[in-house]
Amino acid sequence: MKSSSAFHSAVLLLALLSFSSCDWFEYSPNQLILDEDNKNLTERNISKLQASGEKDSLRIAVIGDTQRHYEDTEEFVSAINDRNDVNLVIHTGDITDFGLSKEFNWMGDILKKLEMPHFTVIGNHDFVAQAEFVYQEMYGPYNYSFSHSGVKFIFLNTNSREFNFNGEVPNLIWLENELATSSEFELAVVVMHVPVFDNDFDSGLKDEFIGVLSNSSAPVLTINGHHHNFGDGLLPESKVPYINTDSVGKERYVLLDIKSGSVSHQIVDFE
Amino acid sequence: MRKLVLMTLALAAMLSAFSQGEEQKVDWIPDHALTEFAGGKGFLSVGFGYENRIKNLQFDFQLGHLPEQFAAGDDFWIITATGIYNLWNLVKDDFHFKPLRAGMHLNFSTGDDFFINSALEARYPQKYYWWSSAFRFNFFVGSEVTYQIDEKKRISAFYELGTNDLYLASYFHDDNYEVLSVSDILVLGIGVKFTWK
Repeated sequence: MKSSSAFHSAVLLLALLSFSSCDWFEYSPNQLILDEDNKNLTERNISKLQASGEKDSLRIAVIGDTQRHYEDTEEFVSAINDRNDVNLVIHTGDITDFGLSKEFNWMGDILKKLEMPHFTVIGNHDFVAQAEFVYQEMYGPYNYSFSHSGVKFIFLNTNSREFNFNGEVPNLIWLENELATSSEFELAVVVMHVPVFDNDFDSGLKDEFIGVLSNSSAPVLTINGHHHNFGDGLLPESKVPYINTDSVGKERYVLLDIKSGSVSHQIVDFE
Repeated sequence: MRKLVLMTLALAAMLSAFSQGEEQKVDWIPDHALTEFAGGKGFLSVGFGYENRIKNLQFDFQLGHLPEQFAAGDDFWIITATGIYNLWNLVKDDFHFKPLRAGMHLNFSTGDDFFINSALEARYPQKYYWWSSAFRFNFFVGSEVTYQIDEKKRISAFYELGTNDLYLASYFHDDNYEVLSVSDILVLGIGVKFTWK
């Protein structure tokens, strides 16, 4: 390489880099960078769901703990789009592994290929460093709810450990309020990341939490992630059922069928 | 008596070592100052560094800042230590061109939002998170072009293009390379360096 031509090519390269690759200029992996179409997703998905109209029955696909499973999540998305009978998708939290902005964008870009609306709840990994602020910018508040086709969907932040077990997470006053209107719906689906029977759930709130769910006059189904292994049963000393989702890395999802307040579920493999 | 002789010998050896060191005179005054935009070192970072005599190795220390408008939460500071190896140095008139350099830098993000090791945080049990959110290890390649102002003073422009440990851990997990592209994990920084010796 002649050094004069080398110099010219260096100048050219610098100019080229500065014009063509603004995305590469990263100040910190923890900075807030979100594409415009990866913002305010909860509200946008609620509008999309309501626009799709009320139905007699709902078919819901549930996954969780996508973390670093980008390729598996992509396969899940095509499997759900291909079957053409799923009304909405629920993600039980831990969208990211390290809580970095780029991870939120990567996972968001995959999940937005879903043809039906999808809803997330925040997981403990989505709190690392300043990730909880990225989550709020991307999706919206931690705790939110909406009603559709006779079902009340409640998304609840149960990551008590990330709040030093301050006695305020999960927010049981809010939850009780959400369930208070239970004459208006046939079933409540409460989605959370950390299940009540886990050490990351505030032990001081366990009994009260199960009490609030048991007091609902409409039936309640709880769905959680965090354990990466499918499980189902009743919450301790209660008649409230739970479903524990697999990590998407297991290449399985839970399919829920809801009709007139009754639920059936099955595990479906995808590959 | 024997003890005294040994002690005297040891003292003499120390003194001679010290005086030799005095002759060689370790110079801790930096060779250069630099400022950089992005590169995972903050919005803007400033720092200083050293080069070895044959100028194929460079070491820098930088302090960067992520202002609140770019941060997800509060603003924070990033401390970076960098090592660079220059593979070539081409000279033409007053210009030096280093077409390929490879390096590593270690970032430390400061503040309560970041943990060095999750086990050090009261809220987590042992081995809760395996990585450090405060330390990031980066690998990069780059180039540098330098203009010789006078016998000692030089001004350089450089870029660094690389990635970090967690982006690599994401890219190489399972078959993620089928979904993520190399371009997705690249981080770019550009900067200016002023050298005075």
